Amino acid sequence: MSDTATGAAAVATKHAPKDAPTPQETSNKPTLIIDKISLTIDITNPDHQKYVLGSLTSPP
Amino acid sequence: MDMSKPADHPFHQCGWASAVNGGYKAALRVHFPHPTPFGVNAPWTKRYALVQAGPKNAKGGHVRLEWNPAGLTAAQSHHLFKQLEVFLSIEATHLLHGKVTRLDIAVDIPGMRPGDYIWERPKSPLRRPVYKKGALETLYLGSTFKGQITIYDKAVQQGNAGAKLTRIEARMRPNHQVYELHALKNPFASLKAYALMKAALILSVPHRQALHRAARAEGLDSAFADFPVAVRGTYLSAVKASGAAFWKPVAYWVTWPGALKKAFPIMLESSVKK
Repeated sequence: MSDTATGAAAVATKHAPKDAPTPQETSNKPTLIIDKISLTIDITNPDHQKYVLGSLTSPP
Repeated sequence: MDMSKPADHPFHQCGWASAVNGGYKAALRVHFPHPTPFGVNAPWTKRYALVQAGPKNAKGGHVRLEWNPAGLTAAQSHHLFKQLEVFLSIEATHLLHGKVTRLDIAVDIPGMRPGDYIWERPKSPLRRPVYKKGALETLYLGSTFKGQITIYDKAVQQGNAGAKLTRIEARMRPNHQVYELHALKNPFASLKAYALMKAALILSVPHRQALHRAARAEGLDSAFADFPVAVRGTYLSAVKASGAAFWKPVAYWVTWPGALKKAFPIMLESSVKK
């Protein structure tokens, strides 16, 4: 190994960060969650459409 | 019934409350009950599902639903679907064929902040970091129309700035029907996390930190753009070899069916066919 390479390696070792953050290892492994969902429902029956509108206008 | 008068409001019976109509002719909020009701006068939580009907522009489905299933109990989800069935005659088959126009899927990583790592999404040229008091609080990768990954400080959002908790969230407009969601592609698969601060680079700590700040704001290619061509490739390779061990998108996606079933218990309870 050349002197230059040895010196560069020494510099890298000397300056290597020792306190880089490390995410916690937890017993509860991360799991996915659904944070928000929007959906549209196609109601084609006119009577059903009126019924839904009426129910939302005069709820229980 | 005058919905503007709280005294007349049926909120105490079924958890229904008036909502701003917006682009729809009618809208209501269906509040979720407390997991353990503690009183007949106030059994409802502040959380609710928005139900809208009759789009004023006559476009899209007749009914629109929007809610956040995260943290809901099975009983709370059941309350919503039961309300839709009993009072609107919207049954499981309607829901399963509903078109999903917005879907946010998230995973929380404890013990780190968004700026601790370099986040890259190769096919998303749009990159927008948001800083507060010098700290990276939110990083947007990609546009909302084509599917966006948002990485943000969940601890700060929760008002617990002393804690370390990062949320990685995929915001999509899948336009799939509900029953097709089980086959959704992993939106996190292309997201990479790099530990530049731990990479095998021959740089002093101040230079490494400056490079880290540049890379997390503008991306790796931009941060290394001014490096001599002779070493640029070597340095980039060193950083890309420093993939953060904690980031396991394939492992997270294994939990997708569970998250889906939790949000739509009807998928388990219903015998409805596609």
